[in-house]
Amino acid sequence: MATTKRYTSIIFAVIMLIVAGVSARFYQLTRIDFDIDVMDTGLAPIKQQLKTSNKVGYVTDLPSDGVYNETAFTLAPVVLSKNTGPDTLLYIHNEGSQIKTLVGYDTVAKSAAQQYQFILLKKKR
Amino acid sequence: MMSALALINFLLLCAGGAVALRRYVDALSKPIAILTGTIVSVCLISCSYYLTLALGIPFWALQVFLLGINIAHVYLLRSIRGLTDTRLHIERPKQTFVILVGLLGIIFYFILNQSKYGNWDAWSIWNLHAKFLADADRWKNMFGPELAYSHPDYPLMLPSFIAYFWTSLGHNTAVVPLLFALVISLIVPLVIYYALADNDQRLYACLGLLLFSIDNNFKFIATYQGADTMLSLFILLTVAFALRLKDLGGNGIYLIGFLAASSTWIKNEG
Repeated sequence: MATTKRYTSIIFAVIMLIVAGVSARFYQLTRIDFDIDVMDTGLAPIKQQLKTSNKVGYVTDLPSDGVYNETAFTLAPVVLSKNTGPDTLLYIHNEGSQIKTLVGYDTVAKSAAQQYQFILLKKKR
Repeated sequence: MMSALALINFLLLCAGGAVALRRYVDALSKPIAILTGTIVSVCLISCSYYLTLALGIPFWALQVFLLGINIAHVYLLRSIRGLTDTRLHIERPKQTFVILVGLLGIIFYFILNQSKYGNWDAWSIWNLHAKFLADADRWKNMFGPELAYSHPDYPLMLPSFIAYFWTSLGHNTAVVPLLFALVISLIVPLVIYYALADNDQRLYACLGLLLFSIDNNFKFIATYQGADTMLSLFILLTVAFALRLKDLGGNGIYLIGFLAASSTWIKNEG
């Protein structure tokens, strides 16, 4: 009986430890900025403009698939098209590289996060 | 409000699944029935969520439907009483202690190594699909040619289940797939343990569970937040029940068939 009681106490202590550990980790994870969090913060004003859109074109100075995939994940369910076909374009400019001038487009929204500048453009009518 | 209802509906469905399994399938112990009931409920929730999207049924209607099913089984199967009729008494404290130490090993690995968004496949495939599925108006966008890189042909059990909770919460938090990956990685060693313990092989059951808790490959893949661990769980349950087919009675084959067939709703290759 005493052994059972002792084990029961240990078991409850372990359960408390598990709950505390998992809670601490969740709290810690919410405090860290991952790449996707940076994109999420930077693209928040752009997402506001795309609330009813289905597709947006994508132009960037960065040849990285990672940036494209992170942006596509952040903007979903809006589809990020790797060409300039759609009327709306998202231009991701990397600090330090020459900024492109996209003729025939008006700037709708602008935001920035870390080294990225996000510019939402709309084709002139 | 909606998120609480969605969670309660899921938990009640797990309870109902466990009690129904114990009633209609012979020789299932309570723990293995609860674990299997949970897995069956994950499958049912994901299928029903996907069906509501495909048929254009609003999310609240799904909640009402699930609530109806849950009220029915609580009333007809006495499912809540069926699961809570034992006193708070730990029958085998030493083995319970081993289970907890094993699970603690896996949880500590998660605490130390879990990434918020999982690995590349998790966010660029599974959770990306979940984000589309969480939007009832634009979910079909995920099948466009632009998303060919994200394998739109992949089955949707994991994304649908995550989308079910994201829709109920009203936003896409990383906590849902993260917590789900943790729960699945805990269920795998528990199934190993109880599948062996129910055959009176308690020593092997403890060793099996501890083996999982020290195997870094298993834990590493479990933290991916991908569908691989969930697929392995369905295969594990199928094999565990198939080995005990004679004990399970006439309905056992339907359970095995359901679990084996459901695997195809998780992954189709890879």
